[in-house]
Amino acid sequence: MTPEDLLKMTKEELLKLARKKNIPNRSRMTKAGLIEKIHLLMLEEEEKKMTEPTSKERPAPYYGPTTVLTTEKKETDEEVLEIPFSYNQTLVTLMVRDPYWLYSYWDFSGKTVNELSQVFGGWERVPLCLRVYNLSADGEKRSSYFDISLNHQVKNWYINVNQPNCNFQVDLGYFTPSGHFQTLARSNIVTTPRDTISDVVDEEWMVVEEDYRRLYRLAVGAGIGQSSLEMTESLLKRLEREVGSGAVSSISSPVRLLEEKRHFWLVLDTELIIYGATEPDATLTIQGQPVKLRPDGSFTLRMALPEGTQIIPVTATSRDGKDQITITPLVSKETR
Amino acid sequence: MEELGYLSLVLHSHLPYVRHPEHDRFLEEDWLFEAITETYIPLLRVFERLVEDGVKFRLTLSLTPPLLAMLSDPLLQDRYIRHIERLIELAEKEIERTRWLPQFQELAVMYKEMFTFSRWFFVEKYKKNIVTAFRKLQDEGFLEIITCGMTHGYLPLMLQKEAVRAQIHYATEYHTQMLGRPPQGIWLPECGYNPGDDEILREYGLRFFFTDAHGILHASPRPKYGNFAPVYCPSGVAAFGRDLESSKQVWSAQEGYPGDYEYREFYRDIGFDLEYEYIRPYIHPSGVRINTGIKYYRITGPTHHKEPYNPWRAKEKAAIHAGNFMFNREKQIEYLASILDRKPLIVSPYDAELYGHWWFEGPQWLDYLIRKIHYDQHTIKLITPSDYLEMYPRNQVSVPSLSSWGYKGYNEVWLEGSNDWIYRHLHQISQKMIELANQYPNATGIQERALNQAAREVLLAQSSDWAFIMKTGTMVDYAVKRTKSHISRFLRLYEQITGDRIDHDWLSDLEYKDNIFPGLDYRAYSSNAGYKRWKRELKLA
Repeated sequence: MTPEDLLKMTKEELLKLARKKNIPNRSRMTKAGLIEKIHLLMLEEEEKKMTEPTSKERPAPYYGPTTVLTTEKKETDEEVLEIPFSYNQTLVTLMVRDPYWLYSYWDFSGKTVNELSQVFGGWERVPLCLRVYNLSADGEKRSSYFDISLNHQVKNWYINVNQPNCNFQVDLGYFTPSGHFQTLARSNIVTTPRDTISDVVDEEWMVVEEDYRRLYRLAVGAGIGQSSLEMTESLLKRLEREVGSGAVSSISSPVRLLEEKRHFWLVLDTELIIYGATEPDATLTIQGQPVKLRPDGSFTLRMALPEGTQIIPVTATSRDGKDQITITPLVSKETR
Repeated sequence: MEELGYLSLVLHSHLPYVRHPEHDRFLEEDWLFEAITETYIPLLRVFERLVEDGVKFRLTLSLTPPLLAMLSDPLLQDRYIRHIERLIELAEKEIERTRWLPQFQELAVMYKEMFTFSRWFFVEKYKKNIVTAFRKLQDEGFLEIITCGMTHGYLPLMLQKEAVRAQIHYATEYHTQMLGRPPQGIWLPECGYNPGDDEILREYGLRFFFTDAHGILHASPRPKYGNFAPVYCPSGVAAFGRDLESSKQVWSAQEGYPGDYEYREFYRDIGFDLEYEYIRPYIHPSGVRINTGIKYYRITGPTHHKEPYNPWRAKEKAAIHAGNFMFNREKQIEYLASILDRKPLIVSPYDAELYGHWWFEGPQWLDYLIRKIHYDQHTIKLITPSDYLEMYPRNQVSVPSLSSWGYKGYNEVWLEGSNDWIYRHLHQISQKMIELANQYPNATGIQERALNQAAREVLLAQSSDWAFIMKTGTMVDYAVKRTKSHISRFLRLYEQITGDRIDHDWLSDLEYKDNIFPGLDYRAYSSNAGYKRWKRELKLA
C-alpha cells in the first residue's frame, strides 16, 4: 500500500485500518493525522522485515549465486529501502578505528563459496582465517602476522593490534587440508595513528626537549612535573571526556547537562478558560483588556492560573455604546 | 602597543541535507528552521551590529555545502516562513495566556520580538536568502568563509581517493558558485584528517585546514611550536591545531560556560510542558510533542525544580564569561609569547549551532568577547588562518597525525557497533560510481542526468551525520532510512545506466527529491588522467 492509496481512502476506512494496527488515540485524529501515522507504521514494519547486512545476530546468510542485487524486485514508486545483503564479491577491506584497533569487513562470492564447499564437503567446514600482517615502515615487507580464525556467520571484526604508528594489511583466506594458508583476497594497507609525541626531530626546527615538554604540557593542560607518558594519557583522557562535535546532536539531541536521576514524579498546572458569547458587533473586555470576538460573537480566553484570587470583570458593550453588561467571576486557586 | 599573539575563532556551521518535498511537513526539516531562528540570524545580527558600531574583527566561519544548499532552496525558504509565522502566532497566544504571570509574560514578549525580528530579517532584509548576509560580511572583510566536504562525508573512513576528491571537488566548486570566491581553507568534516588527504586539498587551491590538538601535537617531525602555530604538510597545505584550553571553557559539560545556572534551560520547552490540546497545532502533526523553541526556565541547578529565566541576569553572566575568556587568553598568550620565538596563535573552533540554539546566550557572549577584545586590551588580536599565513609564510614541514574531534579523538564515533555496517555499502557504491565515471566519460542527455544523480546519491549517503546519529541513538530510524535509501537509489541507477534502460519518470522524481547541487558533473569521480585536463578548465577562481 502506498501513501497515495491511503490518501484515496475515506476516514472510516482509515479508522478501520488504524484499529487493526492498534494505533492509540485514533478516534481523536484528523484524517491527515491518521494517514501520517499509518504510513509511519508501514515504513517501520517494512524496515523490521529487512535484514541488517552485518549484524552478528542475524541468521546465516544464503551464499548461493542468486544473492546478487535485490534492487530489481520493485519497480514501483514506493521507496526502495532494501539494500543488498551481499555484492557477490570475494573481498576484504581494512579500516582504522584508533591507534589500537582496526576494523575489517569481508565477503565471499557465490563462486568462491561453491568451490570451497565442494572441496571441504560443506561451507561450514572450510577453515576460514583472517591473517593480519604487520608491515615494515615502507609497507614493503611483511614483518610479522597473526591469524584470526573466522566464524562463517560473521563478516566483520574489530582487530586489536595495540600498535600505534604501524602499517597493517590483512589476507582473507583458509587453510588447505595440508595446513597451508591460501589467500582468497588481500586488503588495502592502513596505518594506525600515533598516540604520542613523535620521536622524529627536525634539525632546522629544533627545540630543547625541556621546552617542548613545557609546551606540550601547556597544550594538554596537564599538571607540572608529569612524565610525557602521563601527559599523553591526560590528553587522551581529555579527548574522551570532552564533547567534540555536536552539529547534529546540538540540534536534535543535545547531551544532557545533568545526569538524569530516575525517580517518580508528578507535575501539575492549572489554566482557566473563560468563554462566552455576545452580539457579534459588540466590544468586549476582560480585566479591562479588549478581547477579539469570533464572527459569531463567541469568545474564548485561556490563561495560566496562579495561586490566589483573581477578580475577572468581563464587560460587553453594544456597538452604539448604549448597552453595557459586566459579569465578574471570582476565581481562587489554592494548592495544598 | 603591538599585540603579543593571536586568537582565531572558528565557527563550523553545518546541518545535514534534509529536504522532503514529498511531505507537506517533515519533522527533521525543523533542524534547519531552529538553527536559522536561534543561531544563524542571532549571529548575523551580532556581526552586523559590530560592523555598525565600527568594531573591527576577523572571524572564520565554515558554511557547508548542504547548509548553503538548504538556505538557498526556495521550498525550504517558504517553509521557514510558514514555520516562523506559526511561532509568532504561538508567542502571541502565550502573551495572552501568561497575563497573570508577569515573569513569564515578559519572556513571551521577548520570544515574540525575537520571532518577529527573524521574520523581518529573513523576509524583508534578505529576501529569503541569508547566504547573502554572510556573503556581505565576507566581502566587507569581517568573515573568512571556508568550505567543508560536499556532504560532510567523513574522509578518514573513505576507501578510494576518488571519493575523497569528489567531496572536495564539488565543495569548492559549489562554494565558489554560492559565495562568489574560491575558499582559501576548509573545515574537514568532523575535523577528520587522514595523512595524504592534504594532497587533494592542494589540487583545489585550499591553503589550510584544521585538526584537533593531538593531530598537530603528534605530528612528525615534532612540531616546534606545538599547536600554537601551524605546520605545513608535505603538500604545502597548512594545518592549524585546535587549542584545548579555550575549547574546554566553552564546550565542557562540567566546567563550560553554557552550564551556568543563570543561563536558559534547553530541556524545558513549552512543547512538552503545556496542555496537549492547546499546544497541539504547534507540535508535530502526528501529535508527537516536540520542542517549539519557547523555553521559560533557567538551568537553576542540578534539580528538577527550575526557576523562571531572567534575560538580564543571563546577559550579565554572558558579559562576565566573555571577560573571563578574554582574560584567560591574554594570560595564555603572555606566557606562550615568553617561551616561543614567534607570536603564538590560539585556534578555537566550535560548532556554530552551539551558539544560540543550545547555548542561548552564546551569540551575546560572542558579541561581548569581540567588543572587549577590540576595546579593552592590547595583548591579543583576532585573525583568521589566512591572515596568519600572510604574516608567517614560513612554517615547519610536518605530517599531522590521523585525528578527529570526535569522542576519543580518532574514528570510533563513526566506526562502531551501531554504524559499522554502512561502510561495505558506502565503499561499494563509491567504487561503482568511479567505474561509471570511467566507463562513460562522454555521456549526454538522459544518461548524463542519471550519472549526475548517481553521484548525488553517493554523496548524500556519505554524510557523516547519519553514522553520528546512529551512534547517539536518537532519530536513528531516520538516519538508517536515509542511508539505505541513498544506497538503494544509487544501486538502481547503476543498474539502469549499465543496462541502458533508464526510467525517466523515476529519475525526474529523484532529481526533484535529492536535488543537492543541481549543477554537479559526475566526471569528478573519474580516475583517469584525461580528467585532470578537464579539471584545469574548471573556473574555480
